Amino acid sequence: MNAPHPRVAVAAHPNAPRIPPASNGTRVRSPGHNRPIAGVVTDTLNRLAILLQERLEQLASAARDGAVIAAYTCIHAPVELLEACGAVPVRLPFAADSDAQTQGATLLRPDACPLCCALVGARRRHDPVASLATCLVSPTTCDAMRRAPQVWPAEFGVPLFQFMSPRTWHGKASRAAYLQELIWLRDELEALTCVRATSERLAASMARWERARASLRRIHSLRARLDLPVTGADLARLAAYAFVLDPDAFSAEVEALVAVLCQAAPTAVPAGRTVRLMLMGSPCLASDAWLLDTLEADGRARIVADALCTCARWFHISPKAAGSPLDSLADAYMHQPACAFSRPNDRLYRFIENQIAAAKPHGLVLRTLRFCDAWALEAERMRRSFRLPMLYLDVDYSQSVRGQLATRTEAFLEVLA
Amino acid sequence: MSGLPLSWAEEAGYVDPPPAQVGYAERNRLFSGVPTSLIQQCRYYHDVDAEWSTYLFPPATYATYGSRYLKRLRYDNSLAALRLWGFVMSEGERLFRARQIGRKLIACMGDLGGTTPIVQAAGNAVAFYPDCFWWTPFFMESKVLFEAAGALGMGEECCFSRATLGAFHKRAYFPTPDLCVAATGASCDDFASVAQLAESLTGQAVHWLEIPFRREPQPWFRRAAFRRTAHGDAQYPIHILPFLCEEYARVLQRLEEICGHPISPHDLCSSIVGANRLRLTVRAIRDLAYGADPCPLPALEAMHVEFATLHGYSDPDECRRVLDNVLATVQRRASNGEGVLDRDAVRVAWVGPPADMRLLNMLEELGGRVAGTEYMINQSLSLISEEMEPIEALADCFLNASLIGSCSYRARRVVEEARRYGAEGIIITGVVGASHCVAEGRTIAQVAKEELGIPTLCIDVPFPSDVPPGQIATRIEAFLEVLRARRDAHRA
Amino acid sequence: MPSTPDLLNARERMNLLLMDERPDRVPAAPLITSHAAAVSGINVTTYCTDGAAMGKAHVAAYEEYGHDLLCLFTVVAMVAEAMGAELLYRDGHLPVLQRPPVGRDGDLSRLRVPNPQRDGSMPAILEATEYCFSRLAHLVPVGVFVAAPFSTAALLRGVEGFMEDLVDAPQRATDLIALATEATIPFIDAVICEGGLPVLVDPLASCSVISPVMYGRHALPAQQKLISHLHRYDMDVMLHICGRTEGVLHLLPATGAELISIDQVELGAVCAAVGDRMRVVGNVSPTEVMAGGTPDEVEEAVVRCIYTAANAPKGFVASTGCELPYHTPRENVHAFIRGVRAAGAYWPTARRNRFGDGAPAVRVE
Repeated sequence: MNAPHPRVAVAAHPNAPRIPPASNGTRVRSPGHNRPIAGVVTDTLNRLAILLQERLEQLASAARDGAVIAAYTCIHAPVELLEACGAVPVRLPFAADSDAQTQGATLLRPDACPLCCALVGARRRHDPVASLATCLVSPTTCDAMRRAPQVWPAEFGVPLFQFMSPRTWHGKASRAAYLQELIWLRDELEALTCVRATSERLAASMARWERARASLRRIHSLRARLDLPVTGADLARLAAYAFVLDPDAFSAEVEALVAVLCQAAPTAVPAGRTVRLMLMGSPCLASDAWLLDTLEADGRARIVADALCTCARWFHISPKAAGSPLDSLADAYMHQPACAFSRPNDRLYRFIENQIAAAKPHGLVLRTLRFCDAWALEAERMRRSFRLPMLYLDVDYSQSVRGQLATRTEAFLEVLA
Repeated sequence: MSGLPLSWAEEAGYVDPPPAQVGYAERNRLFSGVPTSLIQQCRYYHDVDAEWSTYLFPPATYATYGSRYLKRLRYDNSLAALRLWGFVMSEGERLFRARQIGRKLIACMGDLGGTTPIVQAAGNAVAFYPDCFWWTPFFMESKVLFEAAGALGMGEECCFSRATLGAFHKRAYFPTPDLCVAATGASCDDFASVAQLAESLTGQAVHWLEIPFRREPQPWFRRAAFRRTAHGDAQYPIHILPFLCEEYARVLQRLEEICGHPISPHDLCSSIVGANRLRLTVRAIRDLAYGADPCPLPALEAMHVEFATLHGYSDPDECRRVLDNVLATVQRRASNGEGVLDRDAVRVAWVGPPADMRLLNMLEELGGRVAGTEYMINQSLSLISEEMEPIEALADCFLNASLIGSCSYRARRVVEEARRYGAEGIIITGVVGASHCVAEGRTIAQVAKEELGIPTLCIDVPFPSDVPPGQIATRIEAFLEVLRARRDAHRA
Repeated sequence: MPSTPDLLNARERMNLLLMDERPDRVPAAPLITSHAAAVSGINVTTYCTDGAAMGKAHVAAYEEYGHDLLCLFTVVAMVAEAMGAELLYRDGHLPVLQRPPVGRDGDLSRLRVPNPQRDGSMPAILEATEYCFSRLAHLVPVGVFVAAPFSTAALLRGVEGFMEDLVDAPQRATDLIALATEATIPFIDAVICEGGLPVLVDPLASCSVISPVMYGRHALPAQQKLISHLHRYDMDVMLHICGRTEGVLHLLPATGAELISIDQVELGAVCAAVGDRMRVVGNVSPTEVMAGGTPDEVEEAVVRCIYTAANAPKGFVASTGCELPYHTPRENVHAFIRGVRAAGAYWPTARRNRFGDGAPAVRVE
């Protein structure tokens, strides 16, 4: 095993992560909201950014002291289990840009999906979050993401724990196999951390993460009914912090935000004022929030629902506390809102239909990463299934696409308006 | 003379010319000397003995019915090779005829040889691989299937596998299967997407088969328990075998419903014996085609032979006869010291079945020869245990597959092939947009360099009409020059 | 290329038909031969002698009409010409037989087995075949009409003289037919090698010219021999006999041909007589209807044919009874195709649509 790459002081790194809130100029301004309430969301995001910096420093220090920082690549990896085993879970990649993509492509292929390239490129150029990882936990999802993590042991000397996350979900055998894989993962991580993932630890971890998800679900459901000064982009930003921060610290912030927003006695969402959108597609990272800002710019549109694994699909995972925690975890993760690669992926369509029924969007936005076949190949089928106007954006992390996307978005919103 | 018995053709009065690779016109000309009695003997679905079941025809026949590319290819001039070509090219019609004579048509997608023995055990079912229709656009020199797939959402950013979706949509290349057993999981996402869209947009009945990920031992694992496959060198976590057995049992159950009768363990055992016989023949042909000097069988015919292990081109019984002929021809040539290529042809291991088959001809025209392959179907070359319980035997055998494990496992397999057949270099053909190509090329090249000290050339195969002619030939030619120079330096 | 709502192209459609499968609709194959020259704006002499021009003409015709079978054909005398018959070429007219090479003495020594790459108009036809094959064969079958030995023999001897020989010197006629058969084989081999699908045309074997007895004694064996040779290549053979054929319907299956293209005979009778063994092709009148009628009349005629024959057990191809005259109005040919599309569907509409919009979008569990 190669020696780990040197840690870089987090705060000084040019790529130090931060999810800047959208500037006031682009924020939704709802008549009747006074400035202090609108500012609460920005304040929360700012505090979360500070917490993130602190967190990264703590983790860097802990890693130096031998803590296991388990980076994971997909929400099919149960964070509760990783934490119960004594590891600190962080989701990767946290953010991506064209440089990370390019760096990763040198170790993969130019036609590898940008997310896979960024997963590799982030470590290659010592991104603070990626650099923290002392091991990589990767469920087998799509072909590309099954292979890209295999670069980490060879290139970076980081052990990889790859486990089968079944695509099929309706057979008993799939569930049994998934449980076996989780048991194996638990056993390996316990050996690594020297911490036993007892039922009590697992149950406690499940409670912490459920709290974090519940806080996001709360905002999500409130947004559907009430006129809150929380844009879809804000919600996505909040969710992105959940993947790196301590869940209790995260929950506290978001619960406080919810409390303040509820105290302001918001009213029901007025009909017909803005275009309502639902967003779906490839994972939307912290650094992709600019797209959501573009969609919601100047209050012309509002993202009212989504089917992203970095947002709604993640916080809709809800393991039940009853019975064996590991069994509950396996059930919850097996039956989470489906990704496009599950087979058959009709459950994904039902999830989206339910979201549409609840949020009543005027249009859909399907954003896929270039070469992300799992989502891209659903575009035509989605167009026919949902019978709503759909904007299809096929992107990567290069800056050059932004202008074009802005134009296309504008045209789409004009049609809907 | 070798002392081998007369071949089936010689008994009918036909003698092969001296071994050579010939062009389209000459291949057609040679056909005129084939006795009609031999044409009448070569039939698929022998038990039916129908007028339409002959297939021993020259490339011109299949070109006339649309496979234009055949005009550009070069062929082994033996009658056995002609029979092989006819058998391969007639598969499309064979599938329609299978439906007409009351057989159930089972499309197996993505698992590359794992479930076909189960289907073939049914007796009244024919297994085929819609995946193989990814070659149809090349054979026809036509983007018609790509356009059809594009209308259903699989556009140019996807690899050539999208042709299969076009074929499902049009229903003119194979009949609508009674069932499609579609592999997902550690298989090929592109074909899984094809099956998903075929299910959702064309109403195709699909049974999803999950292929487990084969995690291999790593130095940092402390708790994992592994088991080795019965025939082969793969290691897998113990618990994935019962999982795959369960998946195959589900396939079996579904097949029994479709075919209307039980499929007994005895049926499965017989099917396994038949599959093994085919695999042994293919292995024997491979060994000679890639190892003997001079090369007794060109790479294109050798590739057809290899792919026969998947499903016997929808008639495994006749396939065995066809391959027996090929083996006899190759053995005769090898024992007589005869071949179709120069003795000093540069040996190259080929990774990935080339979408454009002409590349194999091209290698040979430029002075190379294929010495070892890794076409992602290695699991269908492994023998299936005849001692184990049949479902378990099938599952255990399939767990050798290079597609379901790590890139480094596949790289090691490639290196083994190269070492076994003395390859001096490796050519990897991929396709832009192919889901599994993401990391393998680099890994294979690294391992080949470390273990054998040989270079690797990676080519993304374009659709022929999309690039200037000669572009790929130039790259192969330059690569062969490098290999020749290295050989000369080594000899010096 | 005309925009088409069809899911299948002609190649796919015809291949299904020839495999005894029901395609999406009845194939539409009016016999567009020298009419292709009119579409591309060249005269018939150029068409008959310049292979590249012939090829371009058929490509242009396909792009104009989108029919389901290319029909490369010059004149019935094409084999006879290559064997030594003299044809008269006049601008604006199809070539005609000027001097048959075999006289009353029956001397066959002046005849040669032609070299398809060199003799008569065979090279031009092969060039046109290659031209069409390389551009269109993935979309549409390239049919190449070849004179059958009986008609070739008649033209080598002169039609009148040959008819006399059939009665007065049958052996001479038989020998001539045998030589014509031998001469045709290299040409059809060459056609197949270029990717063309040989179609046998035998107008002088029709009941308009000879009796059924003569047909059975002389024309049928030659057709059988040639078709048997084509079957060595697994060719699905279309036999076209223009004129009347009602007297020989019962003999047609014995030729071995897979498709029978008919002219002045009642379509329903043909289907009843042979429709269970041969695919029936025909038979809108090329002169009265296609050349002389209105588009509505054309459409009505083709629809009537479809209603009569679409359910023939071995299949049906909507066609014209014989080749279209050069000056056939284009709107009439379009009307023909339109009529087939309107009335000739086998698959339900949703399934025929190339975008599959009729298929269920999401599986309901």
